[in-house]
Amino acid sequence: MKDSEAALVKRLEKIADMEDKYFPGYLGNPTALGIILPSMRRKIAARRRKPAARRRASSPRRTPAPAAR
Amino acid sequence: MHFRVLEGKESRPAELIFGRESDLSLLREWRLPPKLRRHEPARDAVAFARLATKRWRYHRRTGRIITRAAELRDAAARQTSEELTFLLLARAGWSTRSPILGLAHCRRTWCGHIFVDFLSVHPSIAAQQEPRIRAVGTGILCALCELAGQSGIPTVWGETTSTSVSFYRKALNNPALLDCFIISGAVFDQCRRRFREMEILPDDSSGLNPPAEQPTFTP
Repeated sequence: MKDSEAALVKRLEKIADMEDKYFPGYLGNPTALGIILPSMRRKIAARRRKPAARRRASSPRRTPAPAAR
Repeated sequence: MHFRVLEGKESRPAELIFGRESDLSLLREWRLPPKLRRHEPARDAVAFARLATKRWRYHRRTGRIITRAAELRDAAARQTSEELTFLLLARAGWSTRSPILGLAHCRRTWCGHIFVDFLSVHPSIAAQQEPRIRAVGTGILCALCELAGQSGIPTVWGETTSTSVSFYRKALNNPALLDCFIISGAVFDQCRRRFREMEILPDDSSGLNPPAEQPTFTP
């Protein structure tokens, strides 16, 4: 009996080890489901907090028009 | 439908049941412990549980839900083109955190296949809190295949994301998988075989595989 219990635990451990490496806790596409997960909210907020210097660098520079003589 | 999960180094029983109204209150009790407030997978797991209850209630209002395995078998036998929704819960009465270890929100499509909307485990399992409970996600996925097989449904499919694709590649043994997984044919049989490796045999008199304990929690 003990052998079969040990074999079962061994099989489960193999599955669990695979899960530990690859299972992210949930499976599903939140975007397709139309929800914003807390983890996504944080990324969106980080994007909004983009530093002003970087924002200026990525936008086209406006050169002042030459002064009229 | 029973299968085994790991708690620490021990195998413990879990039961896959169809979610009903009374079970939704157990899902609402999925809460984030204060120390996990910044743990993203745990927070996402709570969000998925809230979405599962919301969606289930919406479909119940339209009368397109399944709450028993027999209803799924019946829909397959009638070859109806109805789209039907069901919520599967992995229940374990011995769990001190919550009797619900995980959930899967699924749909029977118009042509009689099963589409996996989403699958999630309890936030403390997602956060790998002690005592660790493992193999719940695979258990639910393989039990879903077994349920489909018993109901005469040949295919389970769904969408993968950049975070979940590596899990599906490993679990379904298909390294070429991209944004869509289809479990049918040999892979389907392989998932059912894996489920049987995790299953509790109901007529086992050895005491090795006792029936799942009933939840001690009351809704």
